[in-house]
Amino acid sequence: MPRLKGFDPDTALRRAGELFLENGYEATSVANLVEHLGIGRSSLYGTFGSKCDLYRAAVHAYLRATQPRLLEALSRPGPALPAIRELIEGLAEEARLDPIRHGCLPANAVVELPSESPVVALHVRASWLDLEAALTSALARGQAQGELAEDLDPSELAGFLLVMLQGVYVVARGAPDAGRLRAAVRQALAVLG
Amino acid sequence: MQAACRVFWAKGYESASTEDLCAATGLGRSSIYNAFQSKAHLFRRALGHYVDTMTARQIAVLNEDGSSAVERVRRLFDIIIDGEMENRREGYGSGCFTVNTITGLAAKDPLVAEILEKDLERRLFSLRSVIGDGKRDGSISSPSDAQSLAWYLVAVIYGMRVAAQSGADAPALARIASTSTVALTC
Repeated sequence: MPRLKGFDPDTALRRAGELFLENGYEATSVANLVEHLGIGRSSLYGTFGSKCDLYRAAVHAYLRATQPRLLEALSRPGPALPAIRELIEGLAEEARLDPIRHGCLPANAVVELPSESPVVALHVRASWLDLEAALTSALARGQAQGELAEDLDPSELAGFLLVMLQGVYVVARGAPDAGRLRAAVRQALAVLG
Repeated sequence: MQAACRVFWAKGYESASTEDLCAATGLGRSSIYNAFQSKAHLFRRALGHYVDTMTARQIAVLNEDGSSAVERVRRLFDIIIDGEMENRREGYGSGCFTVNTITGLAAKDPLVAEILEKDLERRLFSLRSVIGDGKRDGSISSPSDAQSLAWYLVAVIYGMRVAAQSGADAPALARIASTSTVALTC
């Protein structure tokens, strides 16, 4: 089906995701999408359905493209804490360097249209829980390996670190200053000891 | 103004129609535009009203006498969580008009960005001041400087807003708040 239409739906979804990240859902018109994706209006509707369907598909594609790398980094054998620190610092740095493209589309999705699109919200919530579970396991592994103090609760730490990271994305979006972002992340990671 | 603020907060700038704004404020189309010139003007006034009200409340909590600095930071988290729960619709918090605007319109309208920048300065000032108190009363023992800790708290609060919008409930938010104050001693 994709080849017949003369464009690659995965590329189209990635580009749609970029546009939604940059402008938000409401301010992105179908005309903007047609131009940015380089496909005709009828192909767009024919392949993806409505703008809302396309948004949902773009958020799913974003999660499919970003989530495995994160889950893999957290499940690698060896010392857990350095990997966790590196991952979180790396994500914050990417957000700083390019707050639009590395902003978090799923986070924007929940900020912008939770009630209008419950399916998007549920999907984002599910992937969030997957990531939280992977981070919790990594922290528990670190604890078992003697890297993390016994009295700390891996699941509470995981929830906290991910929420803080969402906040870092917002800070980066408003004012991507290296010093303040690193300071915020360093302070959050200090709870790991 | 409060009514207009609720409309923009819930719907965002683009989706808020003139009909929505008329219905919420009880004003006719021509009165709204006579009073506020345009939707963009009205949005900026509404955002200004929101940040002034919200930030004044938060600063008041941070300045309350009689408790340690870290207690006042906890109290700030409490009012943020209470606010999120009050504004829940169909299981999702409405987050924060400021955060919603940062992730949406701020990049496109320099006047909106300016309102947010000034508000952020006020919040950072007030956070730095409570952190200074905490370093003196011993309740905030982190060796990091006050500005870094203030940025850290700003990020945590933004993150809690986003989490509330994705459906995090009060106990989950309270656990995050509690862990985040631990970091003030690290």
